Parts: sequence; C-alpha cells; structure tokens
Amino acid sequence: MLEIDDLEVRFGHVHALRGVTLEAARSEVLVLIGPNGAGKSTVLNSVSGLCEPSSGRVRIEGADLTGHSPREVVRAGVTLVPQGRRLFGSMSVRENLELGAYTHKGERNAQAKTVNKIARWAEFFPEVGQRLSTQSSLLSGGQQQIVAIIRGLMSEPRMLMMDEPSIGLAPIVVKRIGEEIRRLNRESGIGIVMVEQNVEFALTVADRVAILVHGRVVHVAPPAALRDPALLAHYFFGDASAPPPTGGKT
Amino acid sequence: MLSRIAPYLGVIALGGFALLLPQAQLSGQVMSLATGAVIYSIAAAGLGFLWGQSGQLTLAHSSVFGIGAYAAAVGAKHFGLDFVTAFPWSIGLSLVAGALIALPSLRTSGHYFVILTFAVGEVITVIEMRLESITGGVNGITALPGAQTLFGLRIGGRTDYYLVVVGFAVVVFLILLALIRSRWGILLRGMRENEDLSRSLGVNVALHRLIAFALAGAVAGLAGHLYMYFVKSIAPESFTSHLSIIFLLVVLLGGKTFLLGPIIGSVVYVFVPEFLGLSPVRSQIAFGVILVIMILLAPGGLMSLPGRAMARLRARKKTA
Repeated sequence: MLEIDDLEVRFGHVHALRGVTLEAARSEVLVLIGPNGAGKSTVLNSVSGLCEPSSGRVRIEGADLTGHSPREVVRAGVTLVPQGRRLFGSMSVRENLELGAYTHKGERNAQAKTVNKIARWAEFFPEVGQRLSTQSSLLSGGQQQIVAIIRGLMSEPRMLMMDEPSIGLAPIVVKRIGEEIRRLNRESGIGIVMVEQNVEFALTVADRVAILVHGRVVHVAPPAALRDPALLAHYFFGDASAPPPTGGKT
Repeated sequence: MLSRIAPYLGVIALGGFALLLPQAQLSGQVMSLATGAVIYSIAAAGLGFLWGQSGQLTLAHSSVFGIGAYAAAVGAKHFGLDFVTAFPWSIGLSLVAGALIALPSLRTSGHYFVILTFAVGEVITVIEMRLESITGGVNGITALPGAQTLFGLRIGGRTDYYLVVVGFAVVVFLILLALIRSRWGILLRGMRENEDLSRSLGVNVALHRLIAFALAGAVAGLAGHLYMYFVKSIAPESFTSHLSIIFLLVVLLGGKTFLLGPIIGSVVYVFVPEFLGLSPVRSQIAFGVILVIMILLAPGGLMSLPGRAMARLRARKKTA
C-alpha cells in the first residue's frame, strides 16, 4: 500500500500541491487525471524523491519515504517510469534494462539475477524480448514505452508509477499499452499509480481515478462514475471549487 | 567469445606494434617524440574516459597531471623515492585531487562547472609557484634523476624508457577498456545521456561522478609521473590550462567516445608539426585550423571517419 498524506509542494511562490491525500493498493491501478498544471506529475516526482515536499508524508507498506533520495525510494520498492518514455537512446534495450536493475548492484549474484529478470520480462513482453540487442532509439514509440516499463520493473518494485505512458502514441498502440498495464497489475501483483492526460485511456485502464485540480484532489471514484461528460467538464474547464453536478467524493 | 575479447586483443596488438618501433632504428629525436606522444595519450585517455563516457569535461586535467609529476619530483628530491616507490604518491595524490575537483560538480554543472575547473587549475598553478620550499617556486625542480630500474630490470636509456612507457600505456588502456565495457561503463554512459533519468532509476549520480573524476585523476597522475621521469625537470608553467587545452584537442582529434582516440590524437599532435617543420607559433595556428575543420566536418574525431565512410558507402549502395 502506498500512502500519500497531506502532501504539500512549493516551487518558490508557486504552491504546486496543496494537501494531497491518496492511497493506492498493490491490487489496483490508480490513475491521476486533471487539467494541465494541476500537479499530477509533481505528485509522482515527490513520491519518487525527485522533488522535496514542504510538508506531508509518503509511506510504502508503512515505511516512511518522505524526503528520501530517489535511490532510497527505488530500494524501498517504488519506481517511476518518467514521462515521454525517456530511454537511453544510444544504448541497446538490454543496457537500458541493466540500468533499471542498478539498485540491486552489489547484492549477491546481482549479475545472474539481472540476466534472469531480463529473461523473465522478455518472456512477459515478447515483442520487446526479441529486440534486446537493438539500439533503443530505433524501436517504435510503443516498443519504447514497453522498454521503459520493463526498465522500471527491473528494480523489482512493489509500486510502479508511470507518468503519461500514452503520450505521443497512436490510438491502437495506446490501447495495447493499456492492456499490458492491466495484465501486469493482475498477473504480477505490482500496484500501478499512473498520471494521464488521455481521459478515455485513463478510464479504460484504471480501477480508481483521482482528479487533481490546482494541486488538490477534488474527486476520487471508480471509472464508471466518471463517464459523465458534464462532471469531467466541470473539473477540467469549470470552477472546480464549486460543487460538482453529480455525486462523488470531493 | 571472440567478439568479447577482440577489443582487448586490438589494444595488445597496438601495444606490440609500438614496442617493435625501436627495431626500426629510429633516431633519438623520433624516440623522444614517440615517448612524449605515448605519455600525452595516457593523460588524454583519462580525460577522454571522463568526457566521452560520463560526459564531464574538466579544464583542470593538466593540473592533476602536474600533481602527479610534482609528487614524483618532490619524492625524488626531498624523500629519496625512486621511479617505483614514488608511484603510489603520484597516483594517490592525483586521484584525491581529481575527486576534489569534482566536488563543485555536486552543486553546479555544464558550462559553469567547466569554468570552475579552469579556476581550480589556475589556483593549483599559483600554489605550485608559492610553495617554494617544496615545489621550487617559479623555477620548479630541476636536475632530477631518471628512471633507473623497474622490478629489478635496468632502464638504460631513451629506448628502454620508451618501452616502459608503452608497457604502462597498454595496462592503462586495457583497464579503461574493461571499465568501459563493464556495467559501470553502461552506468556512466547513462549519466552522460540523461542525468535526471539515471537519478530516477536510483543511480547515485554524485558518487559515480566523483569516482569517474578520481579515476581520470589517477590516470593523469600516472602520466605526470612518467612525464617527470622523462623530462627530469618540472616547473608550474608546464601544467597551466594551456596544457589542458592541448589534452582537450588531442581527445577531440582522435574522438572522445573512442578509447584509442587519444593515441591517434597525440600522435598527430606531436608528430605532424615535426614532420612539417612548423615553428611552435605556426603549429598552434595549424591546430586551431584543424580543430575548426574537425568540429565542422568530423565532430566524432578521426576515429569516427572509417565508420562514417562505411555508412556513406552503404547508403550509396542502397540508392544505386
């Protein structure tokens, strides 16, 4: 279980997160949606140690991770798959995956374990598994996204956080990535926390959806409860501080 | 299997070729130039490793090279150390200096860091001038002994010392090759490509940057040690930022991402002006022109040219 409790983040005068409280279980896919600048990516960056919260708490399975370095967060079992896939383009797929297993370096049989993990995930995602020696920048966008996901999995996370995995991908590829994310969650028991701009994709993949507006969580509900265009328009284009047109936790 | 050991065999073969050079009955001057070129290539290999693999550039490399040379000279002059017993000091002090120079990079990066290393280099030069009782001040340390023995073997003269230097170069290049091909090498290239991404994967960027600087420092220190026992007299003016620019030029000429780039670069840098009979001023102008041409036409360095030519041939075949 990942717990985010009353998280506040400030960048100078900008109050990016204002008391964000969320919980994500390992059995679910939690997706954060919201308009641009709502603070969705900042939530992931604060949890992963890339930016320091000014107050609040982050816990994984009860262990406090607040303000810890990215290295400590990854070691504790929370890994971020950054926005825009961001592979090491000049390196092969295998080298990218080896870097994902970095935090296990120095452990007993680390090299053998890395080889086993690559083989395991190559089997799980055969499309990429057959291209381990290929330079990663030469892969298609969808394949690159899968490599970025596998690279995140190489650190053996309990929770995998993904920042806009659908960005820049063709609709058919987005659908495929969504299926893979759900399969990953169901079959490996790794919890997924995802940030998405593509609302339709988010509602397809998520078990629960949290809407962020101006650094606050304003609504948390299962996807079925959010298929109301008026409700989404209210949060994305209207006055989010006003009561929503239909029910839901606010 | 063969593809894994082929690069190592390549380095050994190149070393073997260099060891055979004295058989060609070359003049003493050519042997001296060759020795200088090999020493420069070792020092530049340290910079090439740092710049080409981890993406960190320093303009204080000549100062670290100088610290290695001064450690050897001070050891010989004040403590009676010889070629072998001074080695740990030359390498150790340069290693520490390399790591210390990297410390500001934990708080700054890019151009600002490069400017900072330039300033650090200048400060080291001033210290070398001011610590007169140890370093000999502006006049430096002169009339130093040459290398006498190595592991019981007598180092007789210019040719013997050339062979010793080549031996060290082979060892250094083999170690650097092993590091480049290791998981640590992958990690450094990852940091070079995208530091934030590496950090998000849990990589301790600061620590590995420090280690890379320390390693480059140790290599420069070793080269400085060999340089001191080659020229047998040193002064602060030999290790100014001008020498750092020369190392930079050597790395760029050969190709910063190629392990053997510094060898090609230093051979060109040392021999071309001699063969063309250029005065120091004219050779500086010539290298300025060469540098501009290289950056415009072959930014990957001379080592990248065969690969580029092959790619062009393949493209031409495809369109034909």
